[in-house]
Amino acid sequence: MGVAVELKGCVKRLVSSDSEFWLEVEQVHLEQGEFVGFVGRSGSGKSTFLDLLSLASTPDEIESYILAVDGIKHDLTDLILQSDDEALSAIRLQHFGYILQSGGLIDCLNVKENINLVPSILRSKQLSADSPTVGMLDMDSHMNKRTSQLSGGQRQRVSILRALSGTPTIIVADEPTAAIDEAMADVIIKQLKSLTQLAGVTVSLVSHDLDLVYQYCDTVIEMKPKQIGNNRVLTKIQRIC
Amino acid sequence: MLNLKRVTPKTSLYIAQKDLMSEITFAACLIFSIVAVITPLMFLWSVKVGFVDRLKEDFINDPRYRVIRPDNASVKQAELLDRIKQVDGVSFLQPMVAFTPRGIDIGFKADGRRVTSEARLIATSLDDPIHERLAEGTAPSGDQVVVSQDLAKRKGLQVGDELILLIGRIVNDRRERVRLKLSVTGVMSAESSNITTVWVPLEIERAVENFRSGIAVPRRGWAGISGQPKRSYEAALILTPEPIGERRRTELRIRFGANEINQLDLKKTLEQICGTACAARSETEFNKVIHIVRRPKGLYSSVDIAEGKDILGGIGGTTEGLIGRMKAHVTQGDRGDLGMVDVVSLPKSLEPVFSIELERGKVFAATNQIALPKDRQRDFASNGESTLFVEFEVPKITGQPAKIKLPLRPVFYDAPSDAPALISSDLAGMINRAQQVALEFDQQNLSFIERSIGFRGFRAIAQTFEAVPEIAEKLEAMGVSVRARTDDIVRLQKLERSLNVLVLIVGVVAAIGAISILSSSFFANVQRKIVQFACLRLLGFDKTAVSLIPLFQAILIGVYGFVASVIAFLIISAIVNGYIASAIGFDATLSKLGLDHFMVFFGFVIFCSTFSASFASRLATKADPARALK
Repeated sequence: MGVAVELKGCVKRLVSSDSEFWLEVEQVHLEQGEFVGFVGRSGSGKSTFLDLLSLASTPDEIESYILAVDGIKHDLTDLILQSDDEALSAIRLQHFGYILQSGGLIDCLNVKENINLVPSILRSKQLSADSPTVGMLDMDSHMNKRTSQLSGGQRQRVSILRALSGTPTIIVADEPTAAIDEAMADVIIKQLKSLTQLAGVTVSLVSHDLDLVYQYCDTVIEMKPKQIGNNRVLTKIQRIC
Repeated sequence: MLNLKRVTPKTSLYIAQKDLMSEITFAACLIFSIVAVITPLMFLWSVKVGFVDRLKEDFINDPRYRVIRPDNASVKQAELLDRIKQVDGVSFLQPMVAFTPRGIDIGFKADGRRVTSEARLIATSLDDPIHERLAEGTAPSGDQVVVSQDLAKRKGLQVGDELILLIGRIVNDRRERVRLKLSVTGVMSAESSNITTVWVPLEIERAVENFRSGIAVPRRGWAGISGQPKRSYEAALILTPEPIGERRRTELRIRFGANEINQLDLKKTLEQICGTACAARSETEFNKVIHIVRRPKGLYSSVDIAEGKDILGGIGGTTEGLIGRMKAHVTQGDRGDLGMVDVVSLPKSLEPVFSIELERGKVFAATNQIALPKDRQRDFASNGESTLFVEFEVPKITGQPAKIKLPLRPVFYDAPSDAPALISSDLAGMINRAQQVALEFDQQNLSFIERSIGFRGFRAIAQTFEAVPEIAEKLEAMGVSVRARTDDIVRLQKLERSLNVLVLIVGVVAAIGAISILSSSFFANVQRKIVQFACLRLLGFDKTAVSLIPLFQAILIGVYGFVASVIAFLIISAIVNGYIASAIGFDATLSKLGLDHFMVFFGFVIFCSTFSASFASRLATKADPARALK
């Protein structure tokens, strides 16, 4: 397996009126098809790291950002440094899938439209009620429902289907089980893992649920914040398994 | 490089539409707010249009509102008529031999009996817009005539009937009359004229007026009246032993048409008559009081000059005609071209000032003279043949530009080379007659012959009645004083402008209200859904794609709002036109809008809605994709 994404020399400063938070990433790489869990206490910078990894925000400093697509490495460093919104948006559209805490679904679209939003833009194959992936997540009978008619677990499954429908290189899952009960969380992560394994997609999962992370993730990365002054916190990233 | 695909505007439109449909109440509120603003505006504008159109109809239906005529007989030259025809907005120009339509006797058969009647005679052409108002038949050409509806109805005239013009003139207290047989080729509609009228080709009007003026019409076999043509002058010189009293001034104003009677000294008089080169002669002793008078419009005839003499005879005054500077070409027998000279008229009473005495007597006689400046004696004097041929350029009355070539005997007076040549006022007055009629000089019989009467006026028709005031203004600027119903037209235009301003003010106030409502609604909508916008950004929508969503929503709301407004307007309009207009005695469609008005309203609605959404659109671009991950 080759590298799916690699960040080097990345620094993000978040400054508020009474505190300052630094996230420093010396070097992190995620392998293709790897299921990586990010853990750490609240405020350790897990979501900030995911923002940087998923190109949702740009760092203050970066040495290099490499994205590998179909085995070919692409250096996105210049695009990131230039904050090229059009290009970064297009990369997010084509190469990233997102599973958010409460699903992050578009309320005006029904389940099917949400799932197929990215394929319809990319003019790629869309998922239907007959698709095996939809069946595996037991959503085939809910395709025409409005998102407001779904339970928390169903929303997350729609979110997983939407993330997968665009055939991304990386799926970014930020606390996907935070809003659902433990049993459902286990099912959801299990389904996510089996589907991404089938598709060979890299997953970066942020969760507070250590049991879940250690049970399903191939790799766990711990975010370790360190108080370096009165109001300054510096987080470094460490691969722990 | 990565092959990147972007979110297209089509996807933004799709999301915009879906979002509106998912919040139908919100969308309906916005649509109704547009209806609440646009429908009353449409109605207000439609009433303005209906009201003004009703007034305009009178103007459009009555061709007299588009007619422009001169208010005096000063437009005589074909060149000037051509220039008037070229004025922007003039669709047609009919030169007229008579200044205003003149009456004529007509004869025809009615119920088997010969009857006569009186009618106005108006010249027309095939392209005269008045023929659009023919009730039957076609425009006249050749020996044809179109008659007014009243003449046709009263006397039973029909297309194809024969009509005779009975043209009379008085010669030596004896009435002469000729007949001209014409065929009726058309009958005008009743609205075209409420006066008994016959429309004939210009050639017939010219023949009629030539005959009446004593000019022969060879084509019709009508003889002219023999005798000298009348002379005409541009100004008159009045000389009196004492300054003119108030009583005589009044008499001159009334009988002589002398609006301004200004006393001049000799120097200024000479400057006015023959320029500064002659002014040095003002030191000559001259003991008469001098006045030069001009008519505001028109010329003095030899009869007028005689009238002036009559007025001033009692106080020992005299009146003589004056002509302005003329250009003439001088030739002489074998010597050929001798060059150009400026020629002015010299009244007899001023001859002593120039120390010359021009041979006067009969005009024209072989002894008629031209006084040339002595400094040019070498150019013009000859040892042998002494007669010079002086060719005057005169205006084009008919056909090609005319010239009058006269044999004149040269005399020389003491003056520098730039001084003009002098001819007697009588001769100058004769040459000046060419301003009014096609004048020729018969070299064999040494006499002037009038070939044809010139134009006295015209009938111009504007493309639209709205163009009339502007055309009238342009013609006045060209020195052509005109009559047109401009006051009524200007009043209507002012009324329309005032109503436009009024509706515009209401429109601006309404637009401000509509923009305030819509912009706050669109802005609040985006603010409420900022996380959704952040999700779209995270999923790959760039700033342009998300900014288009509120704009497309605004356009959709605008289109639906406009359609709903039109429906509401049509209902209200139908009620007003069906019940209220007749109840208040309005005899036309009170509320009406044209397609162009609807287009303007559509543009107005779309502008207001998209402008309102621009703030929301800007807010949407600020949605941070990272916020969706929080």
